[in-house]
Amino acid sequence: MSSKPESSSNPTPELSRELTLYHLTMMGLGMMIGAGVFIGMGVSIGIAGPGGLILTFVLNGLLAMFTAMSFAELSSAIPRAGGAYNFARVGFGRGTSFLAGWMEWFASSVAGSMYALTFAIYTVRLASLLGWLDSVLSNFNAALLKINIIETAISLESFEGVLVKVVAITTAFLFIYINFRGSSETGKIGALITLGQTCFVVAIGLFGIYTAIKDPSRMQNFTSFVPEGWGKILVTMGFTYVAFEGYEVIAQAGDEAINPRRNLPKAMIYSVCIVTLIYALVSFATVVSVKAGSEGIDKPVWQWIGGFGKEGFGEAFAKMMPYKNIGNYILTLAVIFSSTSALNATIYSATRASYALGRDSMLPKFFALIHKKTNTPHGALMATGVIVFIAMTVLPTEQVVSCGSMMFLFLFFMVNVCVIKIRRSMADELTYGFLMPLFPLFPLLAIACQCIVAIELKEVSKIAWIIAPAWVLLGIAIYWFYSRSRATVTEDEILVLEEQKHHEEVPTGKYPIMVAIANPDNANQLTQSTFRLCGAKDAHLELIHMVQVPDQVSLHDAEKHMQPGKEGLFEIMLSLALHFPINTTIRYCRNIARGIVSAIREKKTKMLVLGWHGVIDKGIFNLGSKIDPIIEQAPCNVVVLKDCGGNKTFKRALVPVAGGPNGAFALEIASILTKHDEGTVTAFSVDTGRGKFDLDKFIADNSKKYDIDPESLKTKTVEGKSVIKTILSEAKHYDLIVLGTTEKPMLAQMGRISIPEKIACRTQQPVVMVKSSGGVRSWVRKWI
Amino acid sequence: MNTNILIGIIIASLAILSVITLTVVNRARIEQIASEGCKTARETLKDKKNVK
Repeated sequence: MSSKPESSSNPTPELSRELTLYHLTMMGLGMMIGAGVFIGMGVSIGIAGPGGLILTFVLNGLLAMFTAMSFAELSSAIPRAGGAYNFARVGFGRGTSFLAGWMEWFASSVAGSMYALTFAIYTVRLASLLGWLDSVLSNFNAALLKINIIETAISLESFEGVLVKVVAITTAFLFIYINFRGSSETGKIGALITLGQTCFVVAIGLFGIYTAIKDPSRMQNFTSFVPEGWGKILVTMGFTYVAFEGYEVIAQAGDEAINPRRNLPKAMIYSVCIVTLIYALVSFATVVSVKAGSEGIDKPVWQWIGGFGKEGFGEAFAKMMPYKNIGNYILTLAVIFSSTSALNATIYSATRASYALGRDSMLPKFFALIHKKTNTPHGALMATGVIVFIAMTVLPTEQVVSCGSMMFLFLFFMVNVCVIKIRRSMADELTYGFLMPLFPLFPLLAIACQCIVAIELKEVSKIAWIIAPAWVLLGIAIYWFYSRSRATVTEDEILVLEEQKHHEEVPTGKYPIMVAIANPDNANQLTQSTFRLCGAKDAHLELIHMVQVPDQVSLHDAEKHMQPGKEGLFEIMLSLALHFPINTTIRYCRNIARGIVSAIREKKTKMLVLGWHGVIDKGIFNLGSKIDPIIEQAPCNVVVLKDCGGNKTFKRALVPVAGGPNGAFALEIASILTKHDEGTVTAFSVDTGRGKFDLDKFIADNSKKYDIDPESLKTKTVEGKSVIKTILSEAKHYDLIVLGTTEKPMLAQMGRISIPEKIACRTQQPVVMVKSSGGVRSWVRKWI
Repeated sequence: MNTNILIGIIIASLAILSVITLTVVNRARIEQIASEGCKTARETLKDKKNVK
């Protein structure tokens, strides 16, 4: 198998960087202060009550802030266009990134339907306020009755319902066409429009406060604070989650922002903070806008507003405005205006997501078609249009909002997992402009909250719980049967340059061992011990050489660096090929540790053998920038050899033990390596006077799980104040030291070199360091 | 005052305060990282540990 990346020698086109912090923040705000909040207010107050309404938006703001921090950290480290799709690709690879793009496409398209519907609802409302609707309906009814198409006149309500859908479809079509012609709205004009919207919404909120101060009796509206119980707040949080999804669009602008590492995270955090305060203000104003007991209000205010559902916000404010009609018109126009800009942005965003999938060959070429005249991705745009139309014609408005919220919850859940994964596995490669504090508390909190809110959303919309998972499952199926084999390989991925399969499949029952080889010298160091390990385990051997090519070097040059690795592979094959089944692979990668870990996963290796030069790293690593991450992340047993080459005999092996699975595994490896020379293994512990370690019990407990030869095993405990010095002085009498590595995660032990590593560095004897692939406990410890 | 209102006001204030605090803290962190120059996560965390 041999796959090549797309050429990197051609100049890469770049977007010009023009967007400042102000533009980026306004971009986020423009997406957020759209329809979600206007439709959400009326519906939410009916479900959660007056207090519940405010709490819904405030707590959702907090939840959004958690996820915004994940977006901020990731976009500061990977400031490229693509947002969640890109993060998932870097963090988890193609499959997950396909799913992220797939969900983003759907979420943005459904959000587009929601904005089109909001636009339509408030346009029809405006027509109704102006009295146009009645006259149009009466003429329409008269015409239909005249030609006997209908028997009874159409009611205003059902006419409005149909009209909303018609207007929504027309609007969506118009904006799809605008997007097809090429978006003319620049970031600067967009920012100005958003600033106007924001000022208007703030003015509404401030007017609400002014009204409450002028007429304190309106505060009585809060008397039944959460009439339906606190649990309902979770329901409405899920429903209105879509009103906070604007920071996602900021991440998309990575290629166009000035100083993106600094401005992207700032804009995300600012926009969430501003929007939370605005929403809190507006929801307060909604509650106090109606005076209880006034004309036409025959029930509690929250029930009255909630009764109008998605139009509740408009009806409530109509009651508050001093010049009722003028205020009402202005408000309606403002809602129409803000839905328009959000609609444009969501269609743009959805098209971009599906185009990216098409461009990377994960969806059919149709999605990557670019129109010759307008230069817009018309295939992706048409596909987006289909989802937008279906969502708004088939589903009621509330269900559309719920589906959008649900899909964004899924998408952001994935981003929160990505931020943990990327910090864990690539912390020493990526340059961050922002690191969130108290990591990984906030992403974990966000994940937990998102799960709860998503579950509670079933109260509002069972359909969302059918459609969203069905879309995800469909995505998985498409990836599995279509995209997996077709996806384009990008430069971020690990490539196979050359692979020789001497044995097509791993023989059944064989224990897969992988040996990582750097050069011929390193191969010589590894041969003897590998031979013994393979013999004891009845192994199938996988020899791998990783070629690291820095970002600045063209991928075509990768093959020039293969020679030392090829010689090393040849060297080790000479000795082992006659005895064991062997496959060899040479791969290109940007980072050796990540490349090896990914190869281990792919080949389902159970043990990795690699060499170490024996010098402690003076920088941020302990054993070295390649070995440390491998030991930490490899999902298999790891054996690191120092100075073990050249036909050495291992008659006496020392294994310092202090408990833990790595110590027991060290005893097993020592048994294997000394068996050939009929040597002995000494399990050694140091009694420092701070509680004695029971060596015999430890061996008895672990002898069944690990293959430790009891006949060759001795135990020895020595008193000493310094563990390191005692072990080093004992080590002089042995010809092999086998050490279990420390179990602490690397980021936790950073800056302090652990005892096994100090011993491994200082001793003159050959050293083997081992790490056993831990169970669930070590997995949890690693992550948290 | 109704207990529910009191609890609600407390939760809302705490949540708003948290959002504002997080914004201020994060802004400070971004400024700090920006003034020190970009670093990898591992370098930043290690520096922090050494200061302690």
